[in-house]
Amino acid sequence: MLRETYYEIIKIFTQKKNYVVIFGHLLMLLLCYVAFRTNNFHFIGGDVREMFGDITQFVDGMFFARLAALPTFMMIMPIFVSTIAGDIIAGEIQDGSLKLYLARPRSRSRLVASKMLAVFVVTLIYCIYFSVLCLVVGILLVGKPLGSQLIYMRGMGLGNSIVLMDLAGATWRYVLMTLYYSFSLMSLAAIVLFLSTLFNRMTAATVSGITLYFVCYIIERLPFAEKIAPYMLSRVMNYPDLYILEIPLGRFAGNMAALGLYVALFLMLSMISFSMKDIK
Amino acid sequence: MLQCNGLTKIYQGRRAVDNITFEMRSGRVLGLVGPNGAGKSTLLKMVTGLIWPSAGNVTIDGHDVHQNQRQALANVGAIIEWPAFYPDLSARRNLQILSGGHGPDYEKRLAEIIRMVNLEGRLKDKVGRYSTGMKQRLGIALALLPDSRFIILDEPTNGLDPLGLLEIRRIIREYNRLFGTTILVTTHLLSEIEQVADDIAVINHGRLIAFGDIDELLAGDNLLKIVVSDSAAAIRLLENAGLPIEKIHDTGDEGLHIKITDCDCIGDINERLVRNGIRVSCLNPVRKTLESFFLENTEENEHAS
Repeated sequence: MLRETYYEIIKIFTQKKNYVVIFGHLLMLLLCYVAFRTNNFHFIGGDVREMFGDITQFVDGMFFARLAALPTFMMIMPIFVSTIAGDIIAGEIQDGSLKLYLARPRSRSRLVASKMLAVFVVTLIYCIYFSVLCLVVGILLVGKPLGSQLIYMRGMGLGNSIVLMDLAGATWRYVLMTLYYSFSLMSLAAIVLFLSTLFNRMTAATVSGITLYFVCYIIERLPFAEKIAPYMLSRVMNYPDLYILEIPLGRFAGNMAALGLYVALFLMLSMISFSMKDIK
Repeated sequence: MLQCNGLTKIYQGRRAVDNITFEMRSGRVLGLVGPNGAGKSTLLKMVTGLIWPSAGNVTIDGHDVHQNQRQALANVGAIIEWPAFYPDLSARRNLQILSGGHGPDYEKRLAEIIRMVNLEGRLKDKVGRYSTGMKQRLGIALALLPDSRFIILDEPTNGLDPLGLLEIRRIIREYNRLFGTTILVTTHLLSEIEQVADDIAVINHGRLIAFGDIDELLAGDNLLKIVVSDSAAAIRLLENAGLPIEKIHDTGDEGLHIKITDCDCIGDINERLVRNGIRVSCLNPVRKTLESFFLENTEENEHAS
């Protein structure tokens, strides 16, 4: 299983199309920085300015990294994960390479599991890379992290957290956020993997996955959807509440359990669907 | 070795493979022929467990391919349709991933097979840079790598030039002769099949319309070709000789075509002609070409359907 997973990771990393996301992310960072500078901190509400005085005393590389990491994890990574998970089975059916692979005595369930594991490893690597890159770009362009960190999440789709915490607390929450998103993206990956077993074309699986995610994302933000919003996939994926002073462990664990359930359910469905599939 | 029992595949109401039953013997080369869309690839995909049959079953060495895939395919190497490798990976990495092989024994075997398919020194190259012929040879290498006792090659000569065709034919014959490996090969080049196969199966509209030893199937219908010094005298003599001869046809330059009802009379014909001073320079049973056999059978099948 580990060898199969290793081969799957090699296959993902040797496909040039999987590097497009790196350029997309760099462009996003650049635009984020330009927007950040040109806005002159007007995005921070007047009440906060009154409370903390000169807001620039809290603006540093980590402040920028936190702001840039959110669109990375909430927009770019779901698209990237949908692309690799959609390609990993349907793409190989489309290319014909799966016929070569499965004409040997191999377990299809094991293959699905190794592909899922490979998607997880690649997602983890990309999440860590993007996190570090946001931080490095922040430090280089905005400045070294300061002792006191202003956590400002208002308007980011993550509640109204306005918190002041020390650098160590903010740093380990940044790390935790990276790890949380690496796992939360697996629920989307499992769904797209399942779609990938249903379709014979990579684009069909990928576009379906991306559409599903963004439909949930849009619906949960509608003012009249507050009753169903907590059950939307994007809400479960994106609402870890990691940046408030006391992390609500019960809710965090509930989120993790819901994500785990998504992963287990769709991984199982993928295995069943793929085992019964005709590889034409 | 391979046994198909009432194998049927229905796609949206259309029978792509219709109730095919045959048994393939060990150590033989079976050529599966049929027009495009006849159901050859669908049949092979069921044999390798890639698709599920709508009815019937396939067994290899007594193991059901769909119920007991691991044991059934344990000694099978197969290339179905186009050998679609990962273009961004080297040939070595492709073979490693697709065959699942590793370790010193695998490396030794790989070196042997790569020598056999003439790809020495090209293992490090990305497959995307390979020519069509090289990809086909790499596909054959992949099928041979697991030291299989049963090899399935679907259209291995597709897109090859004449030299490539000769090369593939050589590999198939050599491998079968050296290791006694059972080989099932499909191609639309009938002359190729005729030169490599021991048995043939003709499939049309998803149905098996002929199966058996190629020499028996292509044997003329008790037809003899005789070239003699005096055709007119030979015809007169044989018509009144009381031998089991049904019909004599003078083809001119090609000599006489004699349809006999009993093969045992061939010696008598020769003896009777020689004894009467007619020199016999050629006496052969007329063998059909695979092309004529194929056309005859597929046309009959067209009329029947």
